[in-house]
Amino acid sequence: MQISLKLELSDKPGQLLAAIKPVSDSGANIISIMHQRDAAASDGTLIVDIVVSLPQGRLGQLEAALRSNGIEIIRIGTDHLTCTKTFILIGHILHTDLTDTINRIDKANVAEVTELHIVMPGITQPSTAKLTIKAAGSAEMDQACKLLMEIAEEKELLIIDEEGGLA
Amino acid sequence: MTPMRIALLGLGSVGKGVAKVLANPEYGFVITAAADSKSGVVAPAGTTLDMCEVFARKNATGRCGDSAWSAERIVREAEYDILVEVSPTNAQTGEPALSNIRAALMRGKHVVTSNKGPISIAYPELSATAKEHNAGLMFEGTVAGAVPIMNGLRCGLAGNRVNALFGVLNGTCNYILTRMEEEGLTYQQALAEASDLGYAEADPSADVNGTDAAIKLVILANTMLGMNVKLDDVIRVGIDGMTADALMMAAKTGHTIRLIASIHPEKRLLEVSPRLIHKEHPLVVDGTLNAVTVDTELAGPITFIGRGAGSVETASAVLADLLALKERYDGK
Repeated sequence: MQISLKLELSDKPGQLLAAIKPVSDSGANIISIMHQRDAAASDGTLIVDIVVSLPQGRLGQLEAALRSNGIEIIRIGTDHLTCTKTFILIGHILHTDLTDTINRIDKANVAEVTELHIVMPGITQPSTAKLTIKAAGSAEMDQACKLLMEIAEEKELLIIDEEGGLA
Repeated sequence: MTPMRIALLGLGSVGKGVAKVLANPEYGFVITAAADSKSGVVAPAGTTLDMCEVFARKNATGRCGDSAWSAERIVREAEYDILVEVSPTNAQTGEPALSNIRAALMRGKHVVTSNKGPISIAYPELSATAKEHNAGLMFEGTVAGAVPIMNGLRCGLAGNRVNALFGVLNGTCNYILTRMEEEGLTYQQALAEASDLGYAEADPSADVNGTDAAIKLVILANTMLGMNVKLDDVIRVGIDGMTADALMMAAKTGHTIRLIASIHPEKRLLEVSPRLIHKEHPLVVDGTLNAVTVDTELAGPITFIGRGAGSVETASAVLADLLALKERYDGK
């Protein structure tokens, strides 16, 4: 999963390392770091925006490590994922391992499934799901779409996509 | 001015529509030969056929004329200026229409057809044969019935590069999706309703699995966009797995689902598949209407909407082609 962290650091030497080390210790990859010294707060703190790609279930560990290094976490979110696309899936979505479908998209680290709504009319009947995927940009979204199409073919799911320019 | 003589192949609903329209002498055409799949009839030299009589005979006997006059023989031996070929489509081989069109062109006869098979399978060859023999080959009725998409692209939008083309080209699918959305019908219920109303074929599989729309895409790609593609090049996903829940979910964000046929010429991508589309988009037409949005370089997006099937509607496209031929070749 990709997440963005807005951190508040003391404006003194070594603080950036104190913020970065817990990230690498948690098994995450840093996608981008942005800090502007001009934006330093008058109280001697510095705001740093970091986007990281993090293995599932490690966010708590990362938060704890950052806090123990004296770093203030102002916000955790997915606000860097500005490209959103909605898909409708039809088929045996649950019986073909829904968790696996979502994990495979999330673990590719190009995009995230941020919303899922599923309707299951009967155990033998096909289900219908609405899936929202968010990515950092159109290239990442294209990769996620390709992956979703591969999964759909393998699991015999019908995917209804938005057509560029029509939606 | 002497009327141009027409040999009419195909006396089904489109053939009937064509005969009805051409009965008006103001258009300047007469029918001198006609054939169905089993028989044919040729007017004696210098005379014309009474099509009411021909259809009455067909109704009474199942044949329009004499089995000695097959469609093939009419094409090769009868006297006519334009072959109007409106027999049913064979999407696999294009036959027997393909051979008949080829033979007519080789005699230097003009051809107007609403038959998708021959144009989707053999357009480059037929176009070259027409050119070689100084004959016209027109086929507006093959795509989207009465909607003048080809003449619109060829004339009205001449010179414009097409960046992309999106179409709702199958009325049966559009009707089914519209009814599922409006009434919450299941796919099977909506299909049964379309069959009861005569919108769906006895075997609707080519409609609902996207093949019919894909054939029309191939025609547009090859004849209008200078591509050289075959039916197998079109990615095809049908609507037979559609659920009413999917349409309800789409509606919650102001969208609907339509079977969209699309061409992206630069990517050489042709696709027919159900797509989420905003309800406000001009392509979202109801019932059996067809619509095509062409995204052009100079004119921007332009959408054509109209009746995609029906005997008189297809006859409208055939008539437009006939009048264009008359303007170009009359007196030859």
